[in-house]
Parts: sequence; structure tokens; C-alpha cells
Amino acid sequence: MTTRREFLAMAGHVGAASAITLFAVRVNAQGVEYKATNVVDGGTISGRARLAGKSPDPDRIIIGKDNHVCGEGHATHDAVLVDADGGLANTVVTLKGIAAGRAWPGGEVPSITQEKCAFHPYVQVAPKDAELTIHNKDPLLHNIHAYELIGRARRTLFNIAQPQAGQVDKHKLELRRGNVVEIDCDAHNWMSAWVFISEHPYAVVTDQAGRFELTAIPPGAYELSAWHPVLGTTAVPVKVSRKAKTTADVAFAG
Amino acid sequence: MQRTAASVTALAVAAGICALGSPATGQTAKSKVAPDPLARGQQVYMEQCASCHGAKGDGEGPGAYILSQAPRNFTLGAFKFRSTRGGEAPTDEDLFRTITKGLAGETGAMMPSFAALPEADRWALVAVVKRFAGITKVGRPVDVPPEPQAKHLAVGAAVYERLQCASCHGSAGHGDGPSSTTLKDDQRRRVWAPNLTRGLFKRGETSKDIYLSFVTGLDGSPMPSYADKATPDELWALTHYLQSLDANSNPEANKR
Repeated sequence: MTTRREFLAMAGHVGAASAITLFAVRVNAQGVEYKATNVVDGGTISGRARLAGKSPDPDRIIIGKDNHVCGEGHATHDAVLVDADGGLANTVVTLKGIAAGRAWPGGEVPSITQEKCAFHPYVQVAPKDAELTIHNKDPLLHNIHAYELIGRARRTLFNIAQPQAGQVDKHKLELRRGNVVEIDCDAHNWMSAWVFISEHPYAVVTDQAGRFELTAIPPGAYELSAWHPVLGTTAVPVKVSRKAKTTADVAFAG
Repeated sequence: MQRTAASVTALAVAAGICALGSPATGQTAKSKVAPDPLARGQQVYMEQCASCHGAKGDGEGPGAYILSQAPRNFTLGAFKFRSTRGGEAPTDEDLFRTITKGLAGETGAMMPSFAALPEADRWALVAVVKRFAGITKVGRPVDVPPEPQAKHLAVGAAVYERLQCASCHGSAGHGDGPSSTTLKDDQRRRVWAPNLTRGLFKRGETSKDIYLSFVTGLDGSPMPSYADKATPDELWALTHYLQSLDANSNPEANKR
């Protein structure tokens, strides 16, 4: 008879093989593993993310419970924030597929806070396998439910109940295939947040005016890519020269 | 390279044992041709599991549409019924137990027991499910301290209130809490908060099963992990409180 132990041994081998594969596929879109180097005479790209077209209507979800903390009416926490000049907030601007450049500075401590039944920040960038610190400031039950986005599907990363104000939890963001973490609260279905996982530090979130700046970029030609949780992805080619300041905007058609 | 060679040898040996383990199915001859340790499991899976869970393990089997609760999509690697921490892979024993025991529930929302399959075949299925799920490391089991004899139902009721179980499960456990109307699973399908007064607990009806659900959470569903949010004594009191809501064993419990 095949015993349990033998099957465990087999499963172990399968596991080891997969782990090696997983490690090997930790590469960027161009099929090259990101290499951290000392960047000398790097260039800078600054500009704005813009929405050229009309801002899509946000989901208007009724605040159907806990109104004493969450407020009244409808929640529009995923609203596309565009300033008077078309500048787009909450957008991750990144150098897609950059093969080599500076390392993450280290000491990144991504965190997220639940307050008045909303997640803050709505969009953030975190290094691969970073540990997310989770705060609940509301005197009621939130359950922070994080998923790795794999195409249309979602894989649960963690789902942590925080029934009291002041509770703090930590959990690693260990993704297998994707690079976007979607965060929900099952107790308050309008709550929404996103974490963009980047292997390299050339990924930043735009400010309220849609502005961004990427620094210490090795000279070369890149694809400047913008990702927005509602609008999707868009990209423009960009060239970076030694010590030069380059200006580039990325625009969503809307 | 040495390690690779050793692995191949171990696999071949294991495959041989696998083949010897199931003489009735004629696997001995077949395994000599294809010494794949998962071959037997794959065969059993296609016969017993694929009609609901799908040939690719994605929960899209031909019989899936008829079920009120969708069969698990193994490829996402999230499992509800584990003895491990939230977000972590189940142990082999967890998967084996689910296959053996099945999952309780109403028609269309349950999984039958496969205890009638030979034990070796059930372990083979564990390996198949793990492959679908891409499980590369087993999760860390949570502690389940011994169950106390005394049942502190009033404490349990207070813990139910403090942890705000009623948010989904309703103040009397009928599954009618304010959030019960908006719940979705990991694939954005509408799901409902279980009615806790019917004595039906999917993982199982033992005290330990109920206790584990609080600590592990049910990954892929809205049920979060309450690890560290209450003491073991409080969680045992909550367990006993939920058991006391069972209208079958306690006719008084379900009176409104």
C-alpha cells in the first residue's frame, strides 16, 4: 500500500520543483530578472498622469449600515479624482520592464488605515513580499480582505477581522503571479483599496494634481506605464539621458 | 545536480510503491510505462472529482452549474477548511480530511464523503489538489488548546457581540445580519452568511471544527480570521454558544 508518508514525499518533490520554477519566473515583462545596481549619473522623469476624456461615474453604493461611524448617503470611494487641469490622482506611474536600476532603499513600511469606513490610502506602492501594517481606527468590525489579482480572478492573501478600534495587524504581501493587490472589507462592501507591488523602486503614486517624479534612472529607452484601479493601464515611450531631466505625461483616454 | 538525481530516484521509488498499492486497478503495468507519482491521483480525480471541480481543477466542471454553492477552484490556491493560519496553505491532513469526510450543507451546497475510496487513492487526490493549487509550502497549524468541560454560554454570547459576528450572521445567528445582503466570495459571486441555528457546519460539527473556523478564517469566503482577537477561553465559550443555538439539539434556541 502507498502510505501517507510516501505521498507526502512525492508532494514534497512536486513542491520543491514548483518552488524552483516560481523563483525562475520572477522576471519582468521583458523576461529579464530585475538587477539592483549602483546608478551613477541617472536621469529623472517628471510629469503628470492625465485623464483626457470624461471621468467615469463612480460606483454609488448605499452606506447601508453603521451610519454613526460611516456617514450617510452613498459612498464613492473609488471615484476617479481629476483636478481642474485633467491631472489624475491615485495613479501608479512606473518604468515597465526596467531590467536594472537602483534598489529599494529598504525600510519600507507600507501601511493601511481603516477610518470612517474607508481605506487610507486608496492606492499605494509596495516592494515585493513587503509586510503591510493594518490599522483600524473605527469602533466597529472591519475585516480587511486582501486578494492577489490574477486576471479577473482573485486569490485570497489574507482576511483579518478587527472588531475594535486601535487594533493593529501585520501580514506579508506574498504574490505568486500578479502584481496588484485588491483590498475589500466584507463588512462594508463600498470600502476599496489597492496595493501595486513593484520589484523595483521606479513606481510612484501620483499626487492630487496627477504629478509624479521618478529619479536616478539609468540612461536608456523605457516604457513609461500608468496604472489606475478604475481606468486600467496606458503607456508612452520615454528616453532618459545622463543626468538629464525629462518631462513626460501619460494620458488615459477615459 | 546531486539533489535532482536523488529526487528522481525518490519519485521513481514512490511511483513504484504507488503502483504496488493499487493492484486491483491494473496500475502496476501502467506505472512502469509512465512513472508519474500523480498518475493514479489524476485518474481517480477524473473519475470522482472532475464532474464538479473541472478537469483543470478550476471549479468549472460540467455539473457545477447545478450547485447553489460553487465548487472550489483549486487553481486559486485558497482553501476554506484548514488547520493553518489565514492565507496559508492547508496541511495534507486537512485536504485528506475534507476528501474523506466531505463537507456538510444543504443539497447543492455540500460535498459528499469519499471515504469509500481506498485510503491510498485519497492521498493520491491530495497530491493532485496540491498540484492544481500550486502549493509549495505547507501552512503553519494554529494552536487549539484543550476544550474546557464547563460551558460559559453567557460569556459566549458576549463574545459573539464583541466580535460583531451579528454583522453577517445576525443577532440570533440566523444569517440575516446587515452585511449578509452584500457578501461576495473571491470570484465575486454572491454568497450568504450561514444560518448558525441549523446545526450545519460545513467543516464539521465538532467543537474543534467550529473553534478552528474562528481562528483560521475561511479563505476565499468573507469569513475573516479572528486569531488574537479573543482568548482561547473566549473562543471556546463562543463555540459552545453557537452549539447552543442549534435548534435541533435545543428546541428553545430557535424561538423568535
